[in-house]
Amino acid sequence: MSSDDDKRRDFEEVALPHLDAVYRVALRLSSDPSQAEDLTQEAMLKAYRSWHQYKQGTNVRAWLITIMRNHFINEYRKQKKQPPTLDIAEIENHTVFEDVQDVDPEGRFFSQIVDEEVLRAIDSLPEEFRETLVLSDVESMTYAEIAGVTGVPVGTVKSRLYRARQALQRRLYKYAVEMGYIKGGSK
Amino acid sequence: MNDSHGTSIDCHAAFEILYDYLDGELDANRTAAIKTHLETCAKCFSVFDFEKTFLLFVDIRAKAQGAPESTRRKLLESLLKEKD
Repeated sequence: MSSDDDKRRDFEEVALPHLDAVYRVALRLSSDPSQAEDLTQEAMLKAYRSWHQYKQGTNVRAWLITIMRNHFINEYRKQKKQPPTLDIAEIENHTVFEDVQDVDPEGRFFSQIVDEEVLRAIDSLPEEFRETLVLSDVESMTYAEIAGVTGVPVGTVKSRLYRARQALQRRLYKYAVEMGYIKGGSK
Repeated sequence: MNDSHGTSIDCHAAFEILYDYLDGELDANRTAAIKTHLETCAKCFSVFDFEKTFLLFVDIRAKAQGAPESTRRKLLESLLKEKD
Protein backbone atom coordinates (compact mmCIF):
# COMPACT_ATOMS: atom_id res chain seq x y z
CA MET A 1 0.00 0.00 0.00
CA SER A 2 1.42 3.44 -0.98
CA SER A 3 1.78 6.46 1.31
CA ASP A 4 -1.00 8.12 -0.72
CA ASP A 5 -3.32 5.26 0.24
CA ASP A 6 -2.32 5.53 3.92
CA LYS A 7 -2.88 9.25 3.96
CA ARG A 8 -6.23 8.96 2.22
CA ARG A 9 -7.40 6.17 4.52
CA ASP A 10 -6.33 8.15 7.58
CA PHE A 11 -8.09 11.29 6.33
CA GLU A 12 -11.26 9.37 5.54
CA GLU A 13 -11.29 7.77 9.00
CA VAL A 14 -10.47 10.87 11.02
CA ALA A 15 -11.73 13.89 9.04
CA LEU A 16 -14.60 12.65 6.90
CA PRO A 17 -16.97 11.92 9.81
CA HIS A 18 -17.04 15.71 10.34
CA LEU A 19 -18.20 16.51 6.81
CA ASP A 20 -21.78 17.20 7.96
CA ALA A 21 -20.58 19.65 10.63
CA VAL A 22 -18.33 21.48 8.15
CA TYR A 23 -21.19 21.69 5.65
CA ARG A 24 -23.71 22.93 8.24
CA VAL A 25 -21.43 25.76 9.36
CA ALA A 26 -20.60 26.55 5.69
CA LEU A 27 -24.30 26.74 4.91
CA ARG A 28 -25.02 29.13 7.75
CA LEU A 29 -22.03 31.32 6.84
CA SER A 30 -22.90 31.51 3.13
CA SER A 31 -26.72 31.13 3.35
CA ASP A 32 -26.51 29.43 -0.05
CA PRO A 33 -26.66 25.61 -0.47
CA SER A 34 -24.70 25.59 -3.73
CA GLN A 35 -21.98 27.84 -2.33
CA ALA A 36 -21.89 25.79 0.87
CA GLU A 37 -21.25 22.63 -1.17
CA ASP A 38 -18.36 24.28 -3.04
CA LEU A 39 -17.00 25.79 0.15
CA THR A 40 -17.11 22.45 1.95
CA GLN A 41 -15.51 20.62 -0.96
CA GLU A 42 -12.70 23.16 -1.34
CA ALA A 43 -12.05 23.37 2.41
CA MET A 44 -11.88 19.59 2.80
CA LEU A 45 -9.42 19.35 -0.09
CA LYS A 46 -7.29 22.10 1.48
CA ALA A 47 -7.38 20.13 4.73
CA TYR A 48 -6.31 16.96 2.91
CA ARG A 49 -3.37 18.75 1.27
CA SER A 50 -2.37 20.11 4.69
CA TRP A 51 -3.02 16.84 6.51
CA HIS A 52 0.63 16.63 7.61
CA GLN A 53 0.05 19.82 9.63
CA TYR A 54 -2.82 18.33 11.63
CA LYS A 55 -1.63 17.22 15.07
CA GLN A 56 -3.05 13.76 15.77
CA GLY A 57 -5.26 13.67 18.84
CA THR A 58 -6.20 17.37 18.72
CA ASN A 59 -9.68 18.60 17.84
CA VAL A 60 -10.02 17.72 14.16
CA ARG A 61 -13.51 19.18 13.81
CA ALA A 62 -12.34 22.60 15.06
CA TRP A 63 -9.33 22.36 12.70
CA LEU A 64 -11.55 21.60 9.69
CA ILE A 65 -14.06 24.33 10.55
CA THR A 66 -11.22 26.85 10.97
CA ILE A 67 -9.93 26.01 7.47
CA MET A 68 -13.42 26.30 6.01
CA ARG A 69 -14.11 29.60 7.84
CA ASN A 70 -10.84 31.18 6.67
CA HIS A 71 -11.53 30.02 3.12
CA PHE A 72 -15.01 31.58 3.32
CA ILE A 73 -13.58 34.91 4.52
CA ASN A 74 -10.91 34.96 1.80
CA GLU A 75 -12.95 33.75 -1.16
CA TYR A 76 -16.67 33.89 -0.53
CA ARG A 77 -17.64 36.62 1.91
CA LYS A 78 -17.65 39.38 -0.74
CA GLN A 79 -20.10 37.38 -2.87
CA LYS A 80 -22.64 37.01 -0.07
CA LYS A 81 -25.96 38.15 -1.40
CA GLN A 82 -28.09 38.91 1.62
CA PRO A 83 -27.08 41.27 4.41
CA PRO A 84 -28.26 40.39 7.94
CA THR A 85 -31.74 41.71 8.69
CA LEU A 86 -31.80 41.40 12.45
CA ASP A 87 -30.42 44.32 14.43
CA ILE A 88 -28.51 42.74 17.29
CA ALA A 89 -28.09 46.08 19.07
CA GLU A 90 -31.78 46.19 19.82
CA ILE A 91 -32.09 43.47 22.40
CA GLU A 92 -35.09 44.25 24.51
CA ASN A 93 -34.68 44.84 28.20
CA HIS A 94 -36.88 41.90 29.14
CA THR A 95 -36.56 38.27 28.17
CA VAL A 96 -38.97 36.14 26.17
CA PHE A 97 -39.52 34.07 29.30
CA GLU A 98 -40.99 37.12 31.01
CA ASP A 99 -43.47 37.44 28.13
CA VAL A 100 -44.55 33.80 28.13
CA GLN A 101 -44.28 32.82 31.81
CA ASP A 102 -48.04 33.08 32.38
CA VAL A 103 -49.16 31.30 29.20
CA ASP A 104 -46.38 28.87 28.27
CA PRO A 105 -43.51 28.81 30.81
CA GLU A 106 -42.22 25.52 29.43
CA GLY A 107 -41.71 26.96 25.94
CA ARG A 108 -43.95 24.40 24.24
CA PHE A 109 -44.63 26.91 21.43
CA PHE A 110 -41.08 26.36 20.12
CA SER A 111 -41.98 22.84 19.00
CA GLN A 112 -44.54 24.23 16.52
CA ILE A 113 -41.93 26.25 14.64
CA VAL A 114 -40.62 24.41 11.58
CA ASP A 115 -36.94 23.85 10.70
CA GLU A 116 -36.98 26.32 7.81
CA GLU A 117 -38.15 29.19 9.98
CA VAL A 118 -35.46 28.46 12.57
CA LEU A 119 -32.76 28.44 9.88
CA ARG A 120 -34.15 31.67 8.38
CA ALA A 121 -34.01 33.27 11.81
CA ILE A 122 -30.41 32.12 12.35
CA ASP A 123 -29.46 33.45 8.91
CA SER A 124 -30.88 36.86 9.79
CA LEU A 125 -28.27 37.32 12.55
CA PRO A 126 -25.13 39.33 11.76
CA GLU A 127 -22.27 37.03 10.73
CA GLU A 128 -20.16 37.10 13.92
CA PHE A 129 -23.22 36.33 16.06
CA ARG A 130 -24.52 33.71 13.66
CA GLU A 131 -21.27 31.76 13.51
CA THR A 132 -20.85 31.86 17.30
CA LEU A 133 -24.38 30.55 17.82
CA VAL A 134 -24.01 27.80 15.23
CA LEU A 135 -20.65 26.62 16.59
CA SER A 136 -22.08 26.48 20.11
CA ASP A 137 -25.71 25.49 19.78
CA VAL A 138 -25.61 23.32 16.67
CA GLU A 139 -22.06 21.95 16.74
CA SER A 140 -21.74 21.84 20.56
CA MET A 141 -18.30 23.43 20.68
CA THR A 142 -16.96 24.83 23.98
CA TYR A 143 -16.36 28.55 24.51
CA ALA A 144 -12.59 27.94 24.27
CA GLU A 145 -12.96 25.99 21.01
CA ILE A 146 -15.12 28.76 19.50
CA ALA A 147 -12.58 31.36 20.62
CA GLY A 148 -9.88 29.31 18.85
CA VAL A 149 -11.86 29.06 15.61
CA THR A 150 -13.03 32.69 15.49
CA GLY A 151 -9.89 34.31 16.92
CA VAL A 152 -11.59 36.33 19.66
CA PRO A 153 -11.36 36.13 23.49
CA VAL A 154 -13.67 33.79 25.43
CA GLY A 155 -15.41 36.84 26.95
CA THR A 156 -16.37 38.01 23.45
CA VAL A 157 -17.67 34.54 22.60
CA LYS A 158 -19.89 34.59 25.71
CA SER A 159 -21.19 38.06 24.99
CA ARG A 160 -21.95 37.23 21.34
CA LEU A 161 -23.62 33.99 22.32
CA TYR A 162 -25.86 35.68 24.90
CA ARG A 163 -26.96 38.37 22.47
CA ALA A 164 -27.41 35.94 19.56
CA ARG A 165 -29.58 33.62 21.66
CA GLN A 166 -31.73 36.45 22.99
CA ALA A 167 -32.18 37.93 19.50
CA LEU A 168 -33.02 34.54 17.97
CA GLN A 169 -35.44 33.73 20.78
CA ARG A 170 -37.16 37.11 20.40
CA ARG A 171 -37.53 36.68 16.64
CA LEU A 172 -38.94 33.17 16.93
CA TYR A 173 -41.34 34.30 19.66
CA LYS A 174 -42.63 37.13 17.45
CA TYR A 175 -43.07 34.63 14.61
CA ALA A 176 -44.98 32.26 16.91
CA VAL A 177 -47.28 35.11 17.99
CA GLU A 178 -47.90 36.10 14.34
CA MET A 179 -48.70 32.49 13.45
CA GLY A 180 -51.06 32.16 16.40
CA TYR A 181 -48.98 29.45 18.12
CA ILE A 182 -49.00 31.53 21.31
CA LYS A 183 -50.83 34.57 22.61
CA GLY A 184 -48.74 37.76 22.67
CA GLY A 185 -47.53 38.96 26.08
CA SER A 186 -48.54 42.23 27.70
CA LYS A 187 -45.01 43.70 27.71
CA MET B 1 -19.63 36.97 41.80
CA ASN B 2 -18.03 35.88 45.01
CA ASP B 3 -21.22 34.29 46.25
CA SER B 4 -21.18 31.81 43.38
CA HIS B 5 -18.04 30.21 44.78
CA GLY B 6 -19.60 29.44 48.16
CA THR B 7 -22.39 27.13 49.12
CA SER B 8 -25.19 29.58 48.31
CA ILE B 9 -26.06 31.75 45.32
CA ASP B 10 -28.84 34.29 44.82
CA CYS B 11 -31.22 34.66 41.85
CA HIS B 12 -29.27 37.52 40.26
CA ALA B 13 -25.97 35.62 40.42
CA ALA B 14 -27.67 32.48 39.11
CA PHE B 15 -29.08 34.35 36.12
CA GLU B 16 -25.65 35.85 35.37
CA ILE B 17 -24.19 32.39 34.81
CA LEU B 18 -27.30 30.76 33.38
CA TYR B 19 -25.77 29.98 30.00
CA ASP B 20 -22.37 29.04 31.46
CA TYR B 21 -24.21 26.43 33.48
CA LEU B 22 -26.37 25.13 30.61
CA ASP B 23 -23.30 25.01 28.36
CA GLY B 24 -21.37 22.93 30.90
CA GLU B 25 -18.70 25.63 31.30
CA LEU B 26 -18.73 25.97 35.09
CA ASP B 27 -16.35 24.32 37.54
CA ALA B 28 -17.66 21.73 40.02
CA ASN B 29 -18.17 24.25 42.86
CA ARG B 30 -20.24 26.68 40.86
CA THR B 31 -22.19 23.87 39.19
CA ALA B 32 -23.08 22.53 42.64
CA ALA B 33 -24.08 26.02 43.83
CA ILE B 34 -26.43 26.48 40.87
CA LYS B 35 -27.94 23.02 41.34
CA THR B 36 -28.61 23.73 45.01
CA HIS B 37 -30.22 27.07 44.13
CA LEU B 38 -32.43 25.49 41.46
CA GLU B 39 -33.67 22.88 43.90
CA THR B 40 -35.18 25.57 46.11
CA CYS B 41 -36.05 28.45 43.75
CA ALA B 42 -39.16 27.85 41.62
CA LYS B 43 -38.68 31.04 39.56
CA CYS B 44 -35.09 30.30 38.56
CA PHE B 45 -35.95 26.67 37.93
CA SER B 46 -38.61 27.79 35.42
CA VAL B 47 -36.25 30.24 33.68
CA PHE B 48 -33.47 27.64 33.40
CA ASP B 49 -35.92 25.01 32.17
CA PHE B 50 -37.24 27.40 29.50
CA GLU B 51 -33.73 28.26 28.27
CA LYS B 52 -32.76 24.58 28.24
CA THR B 53 -35.83 23.80 26.13
CA PHE B 54 -34.90 26.59 23.72
CA LEU B 55 -31.30 25.37 23.29
CA LEU B 56 -32.44 21.80 22.73
CA PHE B 57 -34.98 23.01 20.18
CA VAL B 58 -32.34 24.99 18.20
CA ASP B 59 -29.95 22.04 18.26
CA ILE B 60 -32.54 19.57 16.93
CA ARG B 61 -34.01 21.92 14.31
CA ALA B 62 -30.70 23.19 12.91
CA LYS B 63 -28.84 19.87 13.06
CA ALA B 64 -31.39 18.05 10.92
CA GLN B 65 -29.47 19.10 7.83
CA GLY B 66 -26.29 17.29 6.79
CA ALA B 67 -24.06 17.48 3.74
CA PRO B 68 -25.74 16.30 0.50
CA GLU B 69 -24.60 12.88 -0.71
CA SER B 70 -23.17 14.56 -3.82
CA THR B 71 -20.70 16.52 -1.64
CA ARG B 72 -19.40 13.33 -0.06
CA ARG B 73 -19.15 11.56 -3.41
CA LYS B 74 -17.35 14.45 -5.13
CA LEU B 75 -14.92 14.74 -2.26
CA LEU B 76 -14.08 11.04 -2.33
CA GLU B 77 -13.52 11.26 -6.09
CA SER B 78 -11.25 14.29 -5.63
CA LEU B 79 -9.24 12.53 -2.93
CA LEU B 80 -8.56 9.63 -5.30
CA LYS B 81 -7.06 12.07 -7.82
CA GLU B 82 -4.81 13.75 -5.23
CA LYS B 83 -1.11 12.87 -5.21
CA ASP B 84 1.56 13.86 -2.69
